[in-house]
Amino acid sequence: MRKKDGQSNTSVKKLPPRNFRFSSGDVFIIGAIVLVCAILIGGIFFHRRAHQGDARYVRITQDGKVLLEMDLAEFSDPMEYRIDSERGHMIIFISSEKVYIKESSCTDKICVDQGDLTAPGDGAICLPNRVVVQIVSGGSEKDDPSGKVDVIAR
Amino acid sequence: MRSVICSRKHIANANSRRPAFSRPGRGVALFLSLVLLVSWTLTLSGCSGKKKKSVTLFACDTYVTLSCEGKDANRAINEASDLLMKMDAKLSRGNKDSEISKLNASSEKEPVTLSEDTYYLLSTAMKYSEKTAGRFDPTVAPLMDLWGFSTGYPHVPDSAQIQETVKNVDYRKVHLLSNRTAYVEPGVSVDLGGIGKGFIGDILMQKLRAFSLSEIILDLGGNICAWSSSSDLSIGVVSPLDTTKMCCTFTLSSSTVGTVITSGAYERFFEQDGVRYGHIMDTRNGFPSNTDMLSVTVIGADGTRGDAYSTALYALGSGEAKTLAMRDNIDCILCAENGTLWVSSSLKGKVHAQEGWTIEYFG
Repeated sequence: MRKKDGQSNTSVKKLPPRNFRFSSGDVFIIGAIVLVCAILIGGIFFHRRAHQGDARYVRITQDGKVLLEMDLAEFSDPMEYRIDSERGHMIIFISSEKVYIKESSCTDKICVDQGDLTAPGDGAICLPNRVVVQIVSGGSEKDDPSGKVDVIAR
Repeated sequence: MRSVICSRKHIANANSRRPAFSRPGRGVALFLSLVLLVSWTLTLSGCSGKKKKSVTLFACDTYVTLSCEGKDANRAINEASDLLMKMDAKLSRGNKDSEISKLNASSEKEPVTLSEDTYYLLSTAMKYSEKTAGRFDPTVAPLMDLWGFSTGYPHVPDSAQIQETVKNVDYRKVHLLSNRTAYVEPGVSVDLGGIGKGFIGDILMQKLRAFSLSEIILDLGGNICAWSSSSDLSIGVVSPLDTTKMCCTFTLSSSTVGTVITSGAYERFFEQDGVRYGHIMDTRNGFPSNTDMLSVTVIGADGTRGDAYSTALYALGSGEAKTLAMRDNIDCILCAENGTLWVSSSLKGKVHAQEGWTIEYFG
């Protein structure tokens, strides 16, 4: 820093006058910095707001691959999501209030017995179909109201 | 704030009417200001804070979730996932090329040589079988097959078939020889599923601890293995009466490795003619174990031991389970039918009952 400053001073060989005024270039730099500042701060603000809200997402994965991840608010019209794979078929009911596994070709039906999934952290797993249905919040999962514990042993 | 000061200083140096970018000092000033600004805002927003990563995989016939927090999180998770898949391939009875499948095809004349890990786990499984008088038994698999628990179509089998199958459920029919070789007697089939998840959890934890991490939480199909450098972790134990709720929580102190392993028949069971049959077998008569116990949770640093003992204690029933737990110093939570949680007195203050459950200490 110092070295660079020194270089720039020697190239000019002149101290700034006392009645110093901003040139158009100065205004440009200040403007650019303020603009970048505004964009960054605005971006962070919106990023945080999007993640802090009580947005709930439904996430459906099979074999670890995400099949669907959507904001529940978008399901004011409930839908039935169908999975057909070589392992079997499943029907998952999704509305803006709740998600549940309506039908599954598996034999034990543990996934169907899980019932309604409503809060972030809720989930149903179908091992035979290797399907996981989860409700996740926009924020990190530790901030969930249901996340009073770090993990659950079962 | 620093960025603002920096830019002012350079503006003060701006002494001519020349365009800003014609002067090297200006360019540098602008660049440095932006760098400082970006680093400052990133620190504020927490983006440069702790890295957290988690991955869910299908292994050990269940879902496994590995979560890590810290500088090395990405690398740690990748290496742990590789190790998990490798161990699973080695120990799975369902995999025809696994060491366990080779062991099950062996005979006295043709013993097989096992890898160090597998041999160690098999001998550990045999040790716990002996200690629990066969309540935990790694040769129970043919009985599980007969009842249809491994095929997904559970049913009550013919009693003659049960009699026939239960004869081959005996860990003493597995023979460990020197030089890491072993063989099984005809009709005997080994499945390390009842202890393997605990063991793999221990191995993964050991591997992950070598990385620079601040928190590790492993969930192997509900078997929890956790560690945190600075904060206490709260681990819930699922209620066997309603799997959407918890019956109690356990507080794991910081910088201690803890495994929390639950066995119970509340998730894998079937009903026939009004009778409920769970998936944990009583190795003496070949029927699903039917006791006053709903679930057993074993807590401790050793997940392999916890996995074996949780099965054995469940199969025993609360009276005998308490005796065995005290004899072998097992810290556990026995969840009985009447809503009582029998908790080892060594866990006093660390286990908190949820609504509807009462804690009674023993030992």
